[in-house]
Amino acid sequence: MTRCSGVFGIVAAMLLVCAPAWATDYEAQMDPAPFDATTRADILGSIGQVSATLTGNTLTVNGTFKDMTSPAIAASVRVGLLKGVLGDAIGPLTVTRTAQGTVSGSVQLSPAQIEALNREAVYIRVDSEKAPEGNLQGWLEAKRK
Amino acid sequence: MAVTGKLLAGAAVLIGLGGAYAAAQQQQQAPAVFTAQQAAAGKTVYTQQCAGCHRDNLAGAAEAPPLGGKGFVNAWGSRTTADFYKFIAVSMPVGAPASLSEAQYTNVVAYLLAANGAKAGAKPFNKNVSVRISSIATGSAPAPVAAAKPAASGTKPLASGAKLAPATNLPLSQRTDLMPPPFQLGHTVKGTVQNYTDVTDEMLRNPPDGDWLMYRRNYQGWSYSPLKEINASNVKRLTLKWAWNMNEGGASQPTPIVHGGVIFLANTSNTVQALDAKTGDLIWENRLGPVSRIAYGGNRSLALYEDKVYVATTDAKVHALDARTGRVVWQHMLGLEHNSSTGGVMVMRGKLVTGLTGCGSYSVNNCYISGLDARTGAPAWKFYTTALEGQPGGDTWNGLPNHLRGGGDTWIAGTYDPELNTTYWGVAQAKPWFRASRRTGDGATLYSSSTLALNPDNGELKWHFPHAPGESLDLDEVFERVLIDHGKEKTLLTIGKPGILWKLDRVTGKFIAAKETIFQNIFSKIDQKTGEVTYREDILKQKTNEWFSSCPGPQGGHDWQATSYHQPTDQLIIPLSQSCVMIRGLDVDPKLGGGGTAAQQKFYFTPGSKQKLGRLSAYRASDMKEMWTWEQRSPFLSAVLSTAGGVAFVGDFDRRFKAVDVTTGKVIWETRLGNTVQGYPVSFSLDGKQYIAVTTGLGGGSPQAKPTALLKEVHRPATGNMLYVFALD
Repeated sequence: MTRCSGVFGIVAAMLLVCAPAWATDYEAQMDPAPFDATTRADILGSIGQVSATLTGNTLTVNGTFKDMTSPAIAASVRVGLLKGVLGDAIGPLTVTRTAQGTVSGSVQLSPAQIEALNREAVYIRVDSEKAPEGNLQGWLEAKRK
Repeated sequence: MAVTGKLLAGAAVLIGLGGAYAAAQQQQQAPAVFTAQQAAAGKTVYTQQCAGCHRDNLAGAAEAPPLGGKGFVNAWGSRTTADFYKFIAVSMPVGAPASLSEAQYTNVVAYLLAANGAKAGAKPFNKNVSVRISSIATGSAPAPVAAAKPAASGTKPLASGAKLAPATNLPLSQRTDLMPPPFQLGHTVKGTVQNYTDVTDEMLRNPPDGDWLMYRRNYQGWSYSPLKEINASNVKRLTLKWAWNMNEGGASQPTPIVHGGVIFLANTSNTVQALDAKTGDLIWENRLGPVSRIAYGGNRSLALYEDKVYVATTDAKVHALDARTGRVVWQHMLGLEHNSSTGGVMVMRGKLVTGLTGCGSYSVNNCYISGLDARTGAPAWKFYTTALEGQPGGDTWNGLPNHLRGGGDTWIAGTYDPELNTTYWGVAQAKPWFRASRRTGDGATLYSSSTLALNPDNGELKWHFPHAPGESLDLDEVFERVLIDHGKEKTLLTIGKPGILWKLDRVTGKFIAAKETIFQNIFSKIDQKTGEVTYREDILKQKTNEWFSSCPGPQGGHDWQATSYHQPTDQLIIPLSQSCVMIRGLDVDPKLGGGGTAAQQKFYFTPGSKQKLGRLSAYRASDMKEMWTWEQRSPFLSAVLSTAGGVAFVGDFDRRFKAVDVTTGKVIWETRLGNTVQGYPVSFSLDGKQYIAVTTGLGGGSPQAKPTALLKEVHRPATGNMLYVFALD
């Protein structure tokens, strides 16, 4: 009885430790990407929401966006040095080619990228015709339960 | 080897000559996209509308980037003339974007292209002409363009022998007969303050309850009034008693100074007024000038001592006026023509102490804090805030000669501990902003972004603490130093643009604690034992002309909108801001007159902020614990005032002036004013009645620019520098 309880406890503990790597939920509000006076009218005012789930090393993203001034043309999962720091694409996502639409897809993450995700350095970017270098962006944070 | 070396050297020379020839050929073949007449007309517009910030030599200053030379080509070379036109037309001039005509913007673009080596031709420029700027401009101005005389007006040149049309045939915008009269300088209103009593040292050490004698009311920088007639229960009964229109133009961010029922008020264009605090009647006015040309450089505080009121001006002079009449008693020039002094004036033991700004340009006059005899204006001492060659700390500038040690501005007045006879000042960053632009390597660039403890009698340095050695992103640590005691512990608390709340031992300068307030990604580590910061890896490896993410950006997690220390609850009530930038440092020419801030920016919202730029938070001073906090869409553009009635007052970008319960942070009263609530609210009493005075204002750097860019829905009037005075019914 005691031995069984001990084994059960170890397994339960392992499950708890491993659980976040199997299925952890994240979310982000997507805000306008960096703009200056020449691109302000093309970018400011747009907004979006995404949620994501990490299962194993697969990050699955689903979200919506609206109020862009031109149709979306691409989206990607990206990583920077820290939260709020822009960086390179990890993998592409799919977007509806509209000014109001959806973004979705799955990307395989390396251990370093998972570590970056857990310190909130991973973000989603949606590009549009008028803002091909970024129209919306949002850093993924673990969902608060 | 030697032969090979000579061959290689010869080849290099040939390649270099070939490159120069190719560049020259390219310029010869480059299209001409504007006319000489446009460029000449543009020079006039530039001089009137742009040079105040970007300077006549196009080198830029403060937050205005360079518009000539390497910096301009680095920033704009890869973009088109149409982009450049659009940028200027929608965002300039600062404070009045899109206010010029299409012809004026067109001409300014033509002038700037010409000033950067682009050749003029027969075809006029228009906003749709799109040519890569590096294909027509080199960054070097040909002499004839620099010397070109501006055309009289408009884009069309006058034919030879033609005469100017009579005024009535001119466009309305050029009819001088329809314009308001020019702003008259001088002692424009003469009168006498009755029953004025001299302000003594004892009064400055222990201010009368009903007065507000200095910048933050007491030497310790608390912005706390002991008045308590207005409290959390009755604040809803506050009503406007009177209001006063102030000078327009410039940047208006003043502290109304109150003594014996008289408000001494700094207006833009370096104007000082004495107003009856009860009725709002003007007693005297002295318009010292010069007239404000730019939307920067607000005068943050006057000072009173004995029978004089002191003002430091945007042309870096200190004027002592007779407090009774406004007559000038003495004047002293603090710096050179490119300098200004905006942070306010403090008087300590008969010494007037004030800072200097406009130190971004390379100059033989490095930046310093000045001590003057308050009675006579005689200079007593200077403390150089950029450590010079051969002096202590002088080896932290990577071997740069003194004239390339820019920055170290002191644009916020210091505080003072009478018992320790020590005055505490924050020093702004080194300039240009980026260490890669200024070539300081990993040097600490003392005494930039530091706290200084000085003896006000002689300017002697007692200690310094470098908060952000080698700061690189316009995130200076220049703001208020608040002096707080807990038993025998004498501390200094301050918060700079990165939003780190620092606590130091103000006797020794030793680090005690640091607390992160808003989200920041500049420092990857802050050592809680020493206070030493570790910069994010890419910031340390920076190069010019590369973009960097910065949260917060130059708006700062905290800026000049100062904290209040509410002593009864031991709380610092701090206005905070949340915004980020992409920023890149530009190359600068290392020569006198060059330098500046040399950077470009793009704006974005702080991740996770829900696009809320404003935050008001209270931290307990004893243990730095956050007691309450809340966020709102608009950032706060006023300092905080707290009172013994348990109420704190603060105002925002979107014209709302609010009263907050200091124990809970709950908003318990608010009203909408005419424009952005900007300045330093104060409280005073007259005949036993408590008043609250607050200003609205326009102008200023990043705290105005960032919400203007990010808050699409906020539309403000183009004017509205004003003083409002409230009291209970």
